[in-house]
Parts: sequence; structure tokens; C-alpha cells
Amino acid sequence: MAEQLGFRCFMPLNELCDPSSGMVKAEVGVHRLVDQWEYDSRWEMGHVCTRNGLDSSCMESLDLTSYLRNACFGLHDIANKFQHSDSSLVTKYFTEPGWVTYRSFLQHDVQGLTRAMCEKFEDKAKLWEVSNNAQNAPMLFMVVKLGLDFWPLPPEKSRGVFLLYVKLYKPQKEELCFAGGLLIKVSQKPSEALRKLNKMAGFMTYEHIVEFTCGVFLSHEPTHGMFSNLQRCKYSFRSNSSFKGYDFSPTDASCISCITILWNLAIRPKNLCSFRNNGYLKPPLLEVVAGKFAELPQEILMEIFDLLETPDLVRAGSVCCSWNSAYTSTCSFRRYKWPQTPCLIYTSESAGDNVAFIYSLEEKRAYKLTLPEPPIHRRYLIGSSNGWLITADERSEMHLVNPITSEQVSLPSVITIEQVTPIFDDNGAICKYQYSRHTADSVVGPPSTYSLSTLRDHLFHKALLFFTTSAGSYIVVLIHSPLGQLSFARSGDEKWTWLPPHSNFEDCIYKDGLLYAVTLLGQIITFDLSGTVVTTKIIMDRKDSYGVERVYIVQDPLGDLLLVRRPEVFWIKEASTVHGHGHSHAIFENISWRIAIFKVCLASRKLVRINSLDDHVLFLGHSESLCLSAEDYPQVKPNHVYVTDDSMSVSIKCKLRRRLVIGMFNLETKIMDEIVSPQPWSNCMAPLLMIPNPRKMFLALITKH
Amino acid sequence: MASEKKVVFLRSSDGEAFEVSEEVISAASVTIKGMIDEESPSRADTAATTTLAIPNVTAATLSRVLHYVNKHFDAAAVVGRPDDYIFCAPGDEHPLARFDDDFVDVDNDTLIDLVHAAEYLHIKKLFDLTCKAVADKLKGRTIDQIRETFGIVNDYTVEEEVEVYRENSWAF
Repeated sequence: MAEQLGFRCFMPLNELCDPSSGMVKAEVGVHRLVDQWEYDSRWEMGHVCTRNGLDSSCMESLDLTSYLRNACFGLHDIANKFQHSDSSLVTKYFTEPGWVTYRSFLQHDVQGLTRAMCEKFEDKAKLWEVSNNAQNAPMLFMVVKLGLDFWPLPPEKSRGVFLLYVKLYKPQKEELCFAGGLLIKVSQKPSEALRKLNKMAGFMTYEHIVEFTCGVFLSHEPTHGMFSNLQRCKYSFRSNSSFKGYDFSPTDASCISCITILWNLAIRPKNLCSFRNNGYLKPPLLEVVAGKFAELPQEILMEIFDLLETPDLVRAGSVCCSWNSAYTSTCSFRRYKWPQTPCLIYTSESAGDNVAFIYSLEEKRAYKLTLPEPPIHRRYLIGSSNGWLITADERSEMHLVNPITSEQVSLPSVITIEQVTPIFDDNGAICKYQYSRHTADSVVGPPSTYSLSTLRDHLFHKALLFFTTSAGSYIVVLIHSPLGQLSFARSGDEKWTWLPPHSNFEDCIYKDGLLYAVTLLGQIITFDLSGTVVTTKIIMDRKDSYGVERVYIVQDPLGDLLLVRRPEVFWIKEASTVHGHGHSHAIFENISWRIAIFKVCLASRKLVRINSLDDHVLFLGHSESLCLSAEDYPQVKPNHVYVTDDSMSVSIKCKLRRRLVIGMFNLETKIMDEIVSPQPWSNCMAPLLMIPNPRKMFLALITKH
Repeated sequence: MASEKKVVFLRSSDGEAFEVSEEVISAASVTIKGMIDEESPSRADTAATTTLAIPNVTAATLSRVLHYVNKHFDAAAVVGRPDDYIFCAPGDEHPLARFDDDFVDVDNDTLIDLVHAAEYLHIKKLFDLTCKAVADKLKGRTIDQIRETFGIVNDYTVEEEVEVYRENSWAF
């Protein structure tokens, strides 16, 4: 081992490449003539990133020379690893377990290396001109490629000063032509520092910064002890008038115990030749390249984030400050077209009352979310659109809730709905609801009295949320009993506004500022809800025959309206969880599902039956009806209809633990498959499909109030 | 290629010059088209070829970019619809889909250089392609994996970290 460390002369390249000679295996140094097309930097360099919390106590007694040697040796191993591994090396190679494998190189050794580097820097920082002469070349040089920003070094909130060690390295000549140091205030803009650097090096002030490769070292704040070297640096700087304004006083030196050093090491094979005949190992030049990803400008990050599904976006948006602010911007400036694969949202008896799950069709995994009161598990999910859920709680009161952001808005009270009147107890509290079964022109049944929690079983049919063009304003449309009537509430409304006289509504969409509602008979009626007076227009008057079925209206990606009829499926036998799954599955599959899709021709008032959606996908249920292009959503299947259970009896089905219809229907084969099997929801309200939306919609509104 | 075709030279930040057809590069890069348009009045038709400095792009990256540009925009120019290249759907046997896949199958640093170059040169398709490739690398990874893969340091203060964790930990 000692022999391996003690190179005494330059070694021929082929010996260096011989694995039996020790640290360096083949591949190293052989790519000398770089063919741009053959060139694969994975074989040329790699990265190590370490966040090194240095502890002052362990530094003083170390024999730096030996540690330096070990460190360099260890680095050679890492270099070797880089050159033979397809993936980049990670932090763990710098931590104890990693180093145990790699010759017991400990955290201490890294610290030793750090210190040695400091020393070298100190020497080098005194040099204003360094030739590329091998005798004078720095043995160890931490170099950080300077990008547009020093981000993430140093942390923005620290108040310190940091040292920038610079060398100017001309790649085309492989020549080091300048080395120096500069003190930079944390508050200073990187561009200002660069201007200074350029000036020092005798370049034009606005010379391109990529020409510089710089070593950035250092601390958030002044330290002492182990970094006495660093302090010595400062004295040498002080003697130089270029470094005015630098004031490390020993008294404030102990205020922080942790120094964060980021470096990514990239070791180029050619540097392995810089062994010198000095009787001991001279380490190769180490080039430290800051993670380029940390430097990505916000605009580019936002472009990239735009392509991510919500869970990926949230994770990526959490890695560091810069990415987090790009994430926040992405959420608030969300584009109109933002392909997001729908998720199933459901609750489960076994999880907490306030816990909901989002099952990502894209990743085929569930995420657990904790939502605000009242308990989501005991609410009914009566609708969902634009990433928001509309729920009815145990008092039959409605809320809008965004499960991703946990934002929640109370909707006008249920007692403001035309057919609902409160019944008060002796204390003046609402104890029951009186429910009148009337429409604009008739009474369809006798009134009933329902308890607070049972009204929701009878009243709600479907609810939809539409955002209007002005920021933060919305309309919630409620289709409710009796006979599928419409009521709506705009943002800020105190009560629900009834929309008589039409009834039998089944579904609606919001398109070009108009509400398009479809009835069981196939009528399509538009409502203009923008003004104080609602204007109603029947744009397609039909009297189709109908059975016990659900009707949906949906706009396809080309802008055409589609009308879909789906017979209700009541009970699926053997749905009880007690029975074997295989049996019930067979039953599920044996049902003949009939879903009829029509293209709406408004001009001729005709419906044209279509048998295939081609590469489109339909999503139907209590949520907003959607027709998406499968091309944008690679994880959903084209020419399928994804359905969630929205039959009239769904709440009873849930209570009786009957099997729910949550499936994807293949229009070609007419076979329905379950979306998730076995069904993860239990004893809860029917799951819905929804598109997660991380945008905080009401932040402004809520803070205003 | 016919010899009358005009060519331009692009000089990378590290001084290497690359030859490319003027027509092709103009179709591809808004930035270079702008540079050429700016140059053209001052240059006689018979004059020596133009050399444009591309100071933000290294030779390694520029040569990759030109490879892409020649593949995508030269072929299109031949059929006479330079801007009409249709991005193909997954599974489509478009000849360039495979090329694109291979093109972005590079290490992170190279990829990020390509993103920067595509942005600087205004090559929309390449920008979209490389952004997509980066996005794909982010997919399904944990935060730590993202940090490790891309060499990003967690630079939150304790309070910020707590806040981010509180808001986003559901997705971790």
C-alpha cells in the first residue's frame, strides 16, 4: 500500500491503466483524443457531493500529512469508481460506511482533506501568477465552475463573508493562467463579484464568466479553531490592498460551529499524471464542479416543472430554496394546458378520520394527505373539478377543499337551498331539516324531515366547481333533488341561488363563460351566470327516451361536445368484503356494461353515436366529466372510459359495503377492469377521480378577509 | 450538399469553429437567425463565410446541438417544410424519435449544458426535448435521490425546512 502511495516518478500511461498496479484501472487516461460523439463524460469525470458538518474538536491533533495522503488515496478510489460506474457517486461514499468499503476512509479524513486544502489554498492565494509549469502548479485545487449565480453557496441568510479562490483555466490550452482570491460579501451580487474578478485578472469587465473556474470556499460565518488556516489566509489577504473590507476578528470567530462545504469533485484522468518525483504522493489536481442543476435559472426550472405530475413536482419543489421558489411560481402561474394524470381520491376506515388518500394512476401508488376539519372520512364526496373536492359533512354542509394544498372554503349553508328549511330545537340550534319536494311548477312528493346527517343522502346529486376568468372567483353548481334541479353559488355568496324552471339535470360543464347543462332527456341548456340576471337558453331541445341512467356532457380536446349515457349499475352481487375476491371479480367482469357516446351537433340538434374515442379517454363520475387526449397522459389507456360510482344509491352502497363500480371500460372489447384491485377504500364514501392541483387559489382571498 | 449552399461558422466559447448550413441553422435557431439577419446587410454575397461567436456554448455542447439541428432541420428543409416537424407520440415509429431518445441519454451535466444552449440559441424543439428529459429524470424520485442525482444541497434554514416539510411531506 505504501508503495502504491509513493510514486517516485512519472508513470507510463499504460502502467497507470493497469488494474494490478493499484488504484487506477483501464479506461483512465485513454480517452485522450476526444471524439465529440464518442465522448461520454461519465467515463471522464464524476461527482461527489458532500455536506460536511465539521466539528472543531477532531481537527487539532491530526497528522495532516498522513490524512492528506489517505484522503487523496481515497479520492483516487472514488475517481476509479467514477470511471467504472455508470451512475454518479453519492454522498454516502463520503460518510463512514462508504469509506469502510473504500479503505476505511472516515469522516475525519474528509476533514483532514478539507484542512489540507485550506492550506494549499492559502499558499495559492498568494500567487498572482501561476504558470502551468509542473513544478509550480498547485497540487490541490478546489475549483468550482462559476455559473450565473453562486447559488446555493452561500446560504442567503447568513451574514458572513466568504472567500472565493479563483483560478483562470483556459481549457483549450489546458493552462492555468491566473490564481487569486477574493472576498465576497454574502449580500453582494454574483455579477459584481465577477466584474471584480475579471478586473483582477485583467479581462474585460463583462468577459464571459464561464472562462473562470473558481474555488469557492467557505464559511457562512467566521470560525476558528480548526480553521486557523483560514484565518491565516485572511492575514495574507489583508496585506493586499485588493481585499479591503475584510474583517475577521478572532473574537467573533466562534459564533458558528458548522461549515458547509459543497463540492462536487470531478477528476479528469489527465490529471492523474501530475504525480511528481518528490518521494511522496502528490495528489492530482482536483476539479470541483458545482452542481449545474442548482444553478438553473428559474425560467428554465419552471419549464421543466411544468412537465411534472403533481407529486413529482412537489418533491422536486422541495429540494432546495431555489427550486422551491420555482415551484411556487410554477403553481401560481400554472399554464392552462398542464397535463396531469387524474388520481383517485378516497378515504379508509383504518386510517385517521382526517386522512384522505390520493391514488396516482400514473405512479400506481397512494399518497396520504391530512385534511382540515371536519373529518374527511365522514364527509360525502359530491363532486370534484379543477383539483378541488366538494364535500358534504355530517351536518350536510358543504365545503370546497383542495387536498393538495389543504385550502378549504365553506360554501353557503344548505338551509339556503330552495327546498331545505331548518327546524330549530328549544335552544335555537338547528336539529333537523325539512325537505320539500317541489320544482318550479309542481310538487313531486310529500315533504320529509331529515336529521342533519341524512339530508345529504337524499339531496345531493352532483356538485361542480368552475373558475371564472377573474382571479380567484368561482361558481359552484349543485345538481340536487328533487328531479335534478340546479342551484349555484358564486364566490362570496351567502346563499344558494335556485335556477328554475328546468329540471332533470344530470351534468354540466363550463365553457366560454357559459354553463352548459344536460338533462336526462338529452336537452342542453346554457346559463349565463356572469351578470346579476341569469339568462337561460335551450340550445338543444330533445325528448329522448331514457332509462335508469346517468347522462354526462363533456368537451373533447378538439372542442366538440360529447353526450354520454351510462345505465346505472345497482348492486353487484357478492360484493361483501367477507367473500373471496376472485368470485366477486368474476361477477364484476360478467356484467354487460353499456356506455353510449354521442357527438353533439348543435347546428342540426342531432346526436351522432360514436363507437370509438380513438386516442381519447373519458373520465366520468361525480367529478367533472373529462375527455383527455391519451397522448398527453401516457399512463391512461386510450379509448377507455374511466368511471367512478355515481349511482343514486351510492351512499347506501357504501354504507352496506357493497362493491363500487370504479373501473376502466375498454370501448373496443367492452370489458370493464378495476382501476385498483383490491379496492383500498373501505367503509367510506365513493372515491372520485380528480386531477391534483397544487395551486393555492384562495390564498389572496383568505388573507383579505 | 450543393456547393452553392451558404454556410456559416459558429465559434464556441472555447474557440472551436463549426460549419453549418445557413438555411438549416436559421430554421432551427431564432438567436442565430437574428445574428445572421443582423450581419447580412454588411456582407457581400461573394464575401467569405460569416463566423458567429456563440460565447455561451462550449464546443462539446455546440457540436451536439449541431448534430441535433442537422438531423431535425436539414431533413425538414429537404421536404420544404422547415417548421413542420411533428413531434411524435410514444410508440410511433418516427425515425427521429429514436434519435431523440439517444440524444438526451447523456449524463446530467451534458444534459444541462444542452438545456442552456437550447435556451440561449432559441431552439424550441431542442429545449422542449431536453426539458422533458430533465423532467423524466425527476420522475418518481425521492427528494434525497434528486439531491444526490443532481448535486443539489439542501440549503434551507431550519424554519424553512420545517415549513416545506409541513406543506409537502405528503408527497415525500
